[in-house]
Amino acid sequence: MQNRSVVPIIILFAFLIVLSFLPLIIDPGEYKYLYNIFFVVNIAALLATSWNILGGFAGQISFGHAGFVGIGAYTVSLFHYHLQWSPWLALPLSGVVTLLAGVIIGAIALRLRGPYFALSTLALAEVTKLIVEGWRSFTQGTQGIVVNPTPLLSIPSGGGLYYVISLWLAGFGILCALLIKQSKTSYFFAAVGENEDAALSLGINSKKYKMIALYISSFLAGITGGILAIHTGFIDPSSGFDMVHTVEPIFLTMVGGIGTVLGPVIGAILLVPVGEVFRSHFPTAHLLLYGIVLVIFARFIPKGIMGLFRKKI
Amino acid sequence: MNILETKGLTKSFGGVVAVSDLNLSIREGIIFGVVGPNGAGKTTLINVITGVEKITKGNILFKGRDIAKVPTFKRSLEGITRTFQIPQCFTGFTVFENILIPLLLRMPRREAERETERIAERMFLKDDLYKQAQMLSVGRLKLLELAKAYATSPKLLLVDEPMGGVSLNMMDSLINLIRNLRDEGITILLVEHVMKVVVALADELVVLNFGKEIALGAPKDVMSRKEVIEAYLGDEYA
Repeated sequence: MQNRSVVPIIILFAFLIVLSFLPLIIDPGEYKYLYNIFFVVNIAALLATSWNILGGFAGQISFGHAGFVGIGAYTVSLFHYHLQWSPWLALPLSGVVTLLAGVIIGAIALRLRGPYFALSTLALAEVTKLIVEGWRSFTQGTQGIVVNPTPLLSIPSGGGLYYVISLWLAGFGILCALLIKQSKTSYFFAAVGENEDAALSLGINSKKYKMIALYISSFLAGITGGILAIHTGFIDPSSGFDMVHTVEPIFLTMVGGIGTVLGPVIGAILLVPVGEVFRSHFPTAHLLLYGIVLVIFARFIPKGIMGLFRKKI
Repeated sequence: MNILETKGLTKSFGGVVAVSDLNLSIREGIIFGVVGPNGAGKTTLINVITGVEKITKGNILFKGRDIAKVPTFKRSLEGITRTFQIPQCFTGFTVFENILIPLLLRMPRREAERETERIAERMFLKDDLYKQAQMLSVGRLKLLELAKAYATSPKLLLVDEPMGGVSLNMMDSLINLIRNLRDEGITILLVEHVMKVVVALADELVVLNFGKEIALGAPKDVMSRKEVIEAYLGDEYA
């Protein structure tokens, strides 16, 4: 637990404000590819932070984040498709609906511990995907749903807007992680994650703290899905519930530093651009690159980049 | 006044009865020893009192109230805390943080930090305060286990084999420490294999065999009984 301090929060907001002016310096119209990479880095940082709150802070390893992303993406798409809502208006709902899904998933999965919990999240994500695929009258099944980009407060959708929105969403995720880390709750999360029986014997309501972590994590992952759906303009079960949304946040968190606030962000900033460049030249080579990097880190730097520093920040 | 009573307490695992129809009354402020050969049901007794295992039959009364359905964490908050035979410390944390965690549940942060230092000193852990728990020896881990439990402000402390793996020097410190905790008003249920320790510490003693009570009373008296010698050493020594 860090001491309670507003300094990291002020630094975070200063960064967000400064980085928000980037489109005024580098033209998004001219550097579309660059802004696409910035967007992917931001949402990868948000999703990895979401995973880290559950898997890193609370020690509950989730293999089901693709399910949360998919639910968030479909929330935006379905509100847009059936009720003709602006996708931007539906974006906050993607977090809320996914949180509600987290409540249901938690009621089932949080009865289990360790690998059984992890596998149950994987199974529940797959079940959700199958429901979306099968319920054609409501979700359009494998045909998918087109999400028309609409202006936000008369700002036309484009690289600059997506960049700024995703930047602030990532900032919101980091703020959540920071506030948890500075609170007593971070200790109870870690205690439950490390030794649930010992935590219970000391009076810690392990179920309560696992639920809190799951709800925050699912909310952030749902928001990630929502902005992804708006950005890509189309969502189908295979893209919304893509296993990459489960694997990548784990990978970025492990490399950056599990259980730290900045670890997932560092992981995203360092590795996503490299992965994206690889992906554009060799469509599947970025996965190979991720695999090699992960093996190197697991062998030589198991606590990730942030683990190289003495104090967890 | 009795702090804990069990009435017809039974715990079975399938066909195996680990604790059988146990009727105990533990007076407030004493050290209540529980001994018995391996498999006698001593640790299971701790598990059912703390709620780690659900009881099969009977009642557990804590200060006169049936707590059989109260979850483990609530029993701890109400004053029933245990230590584990194999220390269950949070190895990723320092000694300071291990003691701090239960205190944070019960008081504001600044106060908890001050109390952590006081407890560490009381438990002879001041020199190890900022060491990672995983760096401690078995004996020091046993002290930390006791310190964590003490930090919950227990009214009834269940101590499971505190002397296991502990050096002779450390054993004397632990005996004094447990006696001091009793003198502070904490009721202690002590499960221990080392007879010297139990006889030195316990005010009252129960001997279990195959989950059943075979003797109850003052330690020296109980240990000289025929059925106890039989259970420990076999028929030929009785």
